[in-house]
Amino acid sequence: MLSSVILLVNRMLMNQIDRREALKRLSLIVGGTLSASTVSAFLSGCGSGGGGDGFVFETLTPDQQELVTAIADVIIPATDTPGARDVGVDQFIDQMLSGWMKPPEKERFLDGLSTFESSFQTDNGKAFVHASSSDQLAYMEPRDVAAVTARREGRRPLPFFGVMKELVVTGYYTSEIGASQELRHQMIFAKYDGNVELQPGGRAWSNDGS
Amino acid sequence: MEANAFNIPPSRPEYDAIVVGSGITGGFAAKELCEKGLKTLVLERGGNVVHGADYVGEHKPAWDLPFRGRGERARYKDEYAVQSTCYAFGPATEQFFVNDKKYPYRHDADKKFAWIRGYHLGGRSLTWGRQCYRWSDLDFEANARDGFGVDWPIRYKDIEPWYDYVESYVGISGQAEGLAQIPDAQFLPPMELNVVEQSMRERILSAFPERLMTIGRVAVLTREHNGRAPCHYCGPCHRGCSTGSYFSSLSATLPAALATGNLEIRTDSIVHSVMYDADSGKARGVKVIDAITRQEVEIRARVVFLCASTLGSTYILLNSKSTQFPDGLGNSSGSLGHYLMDHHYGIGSSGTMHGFDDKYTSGNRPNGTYIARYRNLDQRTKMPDFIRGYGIQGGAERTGWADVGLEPGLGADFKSRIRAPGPWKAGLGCWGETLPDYDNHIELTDEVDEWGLPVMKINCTFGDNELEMRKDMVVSTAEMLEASGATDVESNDDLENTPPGLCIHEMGTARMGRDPKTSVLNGWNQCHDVPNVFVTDGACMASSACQNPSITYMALTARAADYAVDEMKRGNI
Repeated sequence: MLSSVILLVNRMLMNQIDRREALKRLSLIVGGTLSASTVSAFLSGCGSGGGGDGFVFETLTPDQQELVTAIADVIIPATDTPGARDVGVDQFIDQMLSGWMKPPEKERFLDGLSTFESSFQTDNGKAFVHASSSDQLAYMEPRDVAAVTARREGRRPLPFFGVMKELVVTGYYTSEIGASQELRHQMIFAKYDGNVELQPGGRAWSNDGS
Repeated sequence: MEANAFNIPPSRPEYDAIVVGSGITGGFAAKELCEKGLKTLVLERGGNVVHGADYVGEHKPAWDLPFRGRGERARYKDEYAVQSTCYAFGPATEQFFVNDKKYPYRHDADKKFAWIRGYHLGGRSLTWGRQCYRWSDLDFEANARDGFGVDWPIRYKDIEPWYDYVESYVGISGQAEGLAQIPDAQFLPPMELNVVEQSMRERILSAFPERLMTIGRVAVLTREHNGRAPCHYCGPCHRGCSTGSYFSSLSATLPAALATGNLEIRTDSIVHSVMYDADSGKARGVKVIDAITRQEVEIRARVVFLCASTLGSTYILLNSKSTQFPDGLGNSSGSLGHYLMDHHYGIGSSGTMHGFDDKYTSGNRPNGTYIARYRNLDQRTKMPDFIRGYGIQGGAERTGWADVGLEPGLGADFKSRIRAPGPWKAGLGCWGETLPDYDNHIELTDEVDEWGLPVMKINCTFGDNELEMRKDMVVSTAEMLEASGATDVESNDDLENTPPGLCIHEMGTARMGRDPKTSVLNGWNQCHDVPNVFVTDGACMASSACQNPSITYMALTARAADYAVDEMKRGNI
């Protein structure tokens, strides 16, 4: 990546692209918006910026963050390995809502989250985050089954709970902890072995080579 | 490697050779011509890529990729509307695909064509599928036998030594099986079939003796080869491989060419046209538009090799108009631009395999299984409803979190179910031959792009033979899975989402043939009309067979380069 940045800077210095174009291309290389100080750090060749800033939620309010975390906790709890709460799956969900979903999808999710909570309160007389795990589980189980059925029958858009669970599962198993502590993650192998004895309790690979 | 770039004038008044394009054939042409002593200039329309350092996606785990590997969806829809339909496209590889808005092309709404390309040094040799299967005379004689297309001007015996030559350079791992329809190469040790695939091989062969499942023949090293390291099974080769473990222009041919001291590379150089000199009856060189500065420069050479990819090379010829060639250079036949083909695929069957619960795999094998064509080999295997045939790629593997995680379940039990490897699934997907059809063609429109170059229109549909073949593909893959003991066998024909082009084996449009009245190139990939112009990429193909074609393009390239240099020494060009 550094050579791409160097090449880009060289071209700009040779006046072959103007500064505005260089900034646009730089932001594509680094995959996001850049602050002025980060840009000048790049242009003066100080190496990559970033790191150390706290995550800033763009969509989920603190209450919503708590709620999605509580839901995620039920789906993938901490066991002998960390759970979805521990890998900050609320941050991943926020990123997907803010930057990846189309506006109607995001609206549908937030509406669904709100209905999830209000129905729970109607049924149980308290907020989801204050309920017992058995009450939470009892509420979620039928919604889980219905969502899987909807997915298998090709019904679209998916019910809220189907989207929610997929986000939690994806957010967890593509996190470093989920991929390498709960499952196994390895990039470099001496060979491909097509006949490995699977021990009882043996873990699946988290990366499928795609 | 450093490349000449930007607005630096050419260093020579005339090169011995210009090679247009630095992809899988351009790189090979450069190597051959340079090693034979020619002062050679490679012109690449895209920018530089530094082998290794520029493979920004290599080894990136999901958590280090935008949206955990899903990428910036809105931007992809806007800027990579076509490229993002390719399996290999994503945040770890987007640098190797063109921005579709910058490089538009046209097709009618009912004739969708997905033109998947990358404009950068190395071209699609950085992202290719690496599968390599020889043709045999079953393929070279096909046009003559059934009358579709013109007779190939060569036969297997003409190309066989060149297959040997390029394969031993490229390094192909595979298993010799003695199959006439895909002749064996000098293989590096094969990758393994896994335990389930091994069982499928035995059971399929037992039920269908002419259907042999072998390991894929792949340009990925299983041991050290010419200074390149063997594969380390990280998985997605198309992100770039800094150990050079798969063959590409950057890992192999361009470094070899540069080592001779005879090569210059000029990136960001779009070839507008080949310049024709009526007095000599030969090409003088090429006209180049600098992609960045828009300056035009003419560069002269004694011989021109067009290796700009199938549509790229034909485009250049069509755009090279003169009084003698008003319809494009070398187009006295009227066939230039026509007989475009792509393999049809996106069809096959899958199922669940049983009895291997205690078995797993280790390593991300960049390769699958292959069943060579078993239809229409001879009278005994003749099919009533279609001619020619198809090959089958596939594999078996245990599902993971992405599948098991979509099942019903919540909590510690659910988590522990996902922890274990999921069930074994096997799949067989077909790649079918497409007949040459005059109506499948490209043309230059009056619309121009940001460099003032005409925008291309592509007209291509699959025909009746392809559609009939697809019916057999479904039946035949399902029965092999059943014979393997699979349950819940499902078949899928996804033609709607698999338009021409998406296979990325587009070929034809400047076909080889015996007769200058019906073809563009002779048996040496040499333009019938212009003896010092050679076209050795997919544009040259007179038929498509069903095998992955790049190794055949490379063999034709090396053979044509050898002939061209010989002819130059004899003073014939």
